[in-house]
Amino acid sequence: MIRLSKSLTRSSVMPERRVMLGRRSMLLGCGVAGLLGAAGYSSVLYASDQTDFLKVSSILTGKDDLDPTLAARYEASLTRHQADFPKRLNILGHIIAQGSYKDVESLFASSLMPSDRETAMSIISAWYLGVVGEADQAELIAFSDALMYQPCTDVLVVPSYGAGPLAWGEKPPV
Amino acid sequence: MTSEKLHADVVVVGSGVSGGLVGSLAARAGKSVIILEAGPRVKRHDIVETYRNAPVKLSLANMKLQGAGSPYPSMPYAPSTYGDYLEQLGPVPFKTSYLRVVGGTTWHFGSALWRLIPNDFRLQTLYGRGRDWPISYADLEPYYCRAEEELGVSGVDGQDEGGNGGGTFPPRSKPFPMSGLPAPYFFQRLPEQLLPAGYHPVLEPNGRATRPYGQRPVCAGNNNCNPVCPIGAKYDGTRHVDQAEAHGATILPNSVVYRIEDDASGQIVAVWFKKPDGTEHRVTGKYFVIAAHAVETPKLLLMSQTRHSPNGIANSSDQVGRNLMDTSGISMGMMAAEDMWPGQGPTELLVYLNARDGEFRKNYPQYKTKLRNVVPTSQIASGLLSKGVVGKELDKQIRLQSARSIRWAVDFEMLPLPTNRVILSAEKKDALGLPVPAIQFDIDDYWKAGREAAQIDLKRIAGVLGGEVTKFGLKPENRQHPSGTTIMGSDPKNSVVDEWCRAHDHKNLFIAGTSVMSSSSCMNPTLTAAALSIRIADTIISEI
Repeated sequence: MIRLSKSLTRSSVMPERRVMLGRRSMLLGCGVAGLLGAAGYSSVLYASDQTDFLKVSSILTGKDDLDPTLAARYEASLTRHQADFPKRLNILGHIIAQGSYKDVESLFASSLMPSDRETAMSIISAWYLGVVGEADQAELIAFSDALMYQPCTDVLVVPSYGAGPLAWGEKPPV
Repeated sequence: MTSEKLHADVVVVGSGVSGGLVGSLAARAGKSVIILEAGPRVKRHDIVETYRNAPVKLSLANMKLQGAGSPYPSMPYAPSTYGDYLEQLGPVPFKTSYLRVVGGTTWHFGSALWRLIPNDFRLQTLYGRGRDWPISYADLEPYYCRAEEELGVSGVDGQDEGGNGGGTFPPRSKPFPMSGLPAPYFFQRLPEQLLPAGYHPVLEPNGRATRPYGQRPVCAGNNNCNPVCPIGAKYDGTRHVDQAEAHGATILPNSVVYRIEDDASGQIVAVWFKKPDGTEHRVTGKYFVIAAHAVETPKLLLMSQTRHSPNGIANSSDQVGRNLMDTSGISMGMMAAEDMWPGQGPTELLVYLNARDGEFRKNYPQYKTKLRNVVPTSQIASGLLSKGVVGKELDKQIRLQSARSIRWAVDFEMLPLPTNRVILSAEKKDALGLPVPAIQFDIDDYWKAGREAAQIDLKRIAGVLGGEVTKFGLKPENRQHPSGTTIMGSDPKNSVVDEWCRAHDHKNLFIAGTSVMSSSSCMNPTLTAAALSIRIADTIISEI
């Protein structure tokens, strides 16, 4: 731990190495992040913690087939809209790892701090709605791939992606 | 001013369905035609792309967010009504959303294309309310047939659009050009439940193709009539603008007409327009047709204060801009007792018209009760997420609520009141320095009496269905059906145009669009505007 922390500090003057170490810190588990000081966070901030975000997202949404490309775009957008998002993500990741939570239900049943719950909801909301941010600041990341469409995909189309000429009228499945 | 000389037999201001139809018919008859449009020309694929990429999807499902976005451009010289373009003088905001692009507002209309019924033309005589039209249903019937052919209407032959479950009504001399759309499951199941209680289902005639029609493919259930049909199966005004152009008409987009010029004899001699760069241009012609929408048309007439017409063109009666009507209504949300699955097929189709006509119109207005058939997913998901619902429960609730959320809406007839009006803003101007429209609007006791009646009706419907009412929207909701602002009548003292839609004050000036309607009815007004526009074209062609 101490060695890694030193490496991260040193890496702040070596940008290309910083990214690499960021990836490694993620591989070592998000437990590390919680122990890092302010300098450590700023280093991690530059890291492309895609897999980590994907892992957290997977637990929060209950889906194990999330698209990694979309994950990278959601993470980048959430960070654009909330400068301390990487820090929040690391904390949340740490909590999930510490508690060995396997799904959002058990995570939310725990005594989660309001700010951590908020972080979790911002990730879930992004994946479901395909949108990050509010009102004028809102940014679309996905439309037809937004998770909200999945529960009804056997009955309803995603608007503007019709099923074909006069392709409706049958009784939908239960 | 440009040195270029612009002249045509027929000069049309506005490129929506009404202007497009007049321009197309005149061009097809060999007349020279110029169509001026304030806004730009847009391409369908660009609008679809903008829609898909927009974080806020504009649709009938999120009326509250209608101010938040539209995939259509808002230009400084032709600002979109989705921004703060319209000045609301109140007390009731008149939140109408029209499009200032080539093709006009039919780009985003739901495409209901109803006829009025005979008694709608005689409201004053029969019920002592509003005004009679100077023409009858019989006068307009052949033009309704032609409008249905021009616009390509699909509908159910033999249906009683009077809402009484009888035979063909109103009377028609020709069948619909296209057979009706298949009813989605929702619109099969609901009538089964409501018919025993006396509610006769009526499937709206509409502009969605059920067979290839001209350039249009068959409706593919994109559920996106508003804001844009991605495949162009739904009629929009570009069809007739393109047709006009193919027959030699000149289309001038980005050309904002700001003044109509008359002479001492009352003839209109020219219209003036500005390009986005502020340069001023003049177009002369034999006949002029103002078809700029029920808000923009009176605005243009009022802006045109000339030596010979100090109150504005066509305004010796002081009725220009007055008698603004809508079919403003109320709404009800409910959770059905079983899966109904709204959102399959087109965004609207089934209505109930039990209150379309009768002695009750002495006391309260005719109304239409309709169902939203919009894919509701994003509103439902947003609502659940804002309540913190997550995980398996989130997916379960999205499916359950999507299957069972039913959204009813009522549209009322509104009376032509001189105090409900469009005027020129005293303060706000657009980028070209032209005043924006300011709207003064209120509801009256007649409308309020309708609200009482419809509320009882809606509660009864919910009871028959065994559903749970989740929400009542009782403040007047604008239905985007403005009319009346250049009202038709036989007396030049209290109306703007005569029975031929010709301005009482100017022989060679016609007004096309819903602004000429003497009564609003509770129905979507586009087909009536189209029928009247065809009649205008016939008159002009015969006179040139």
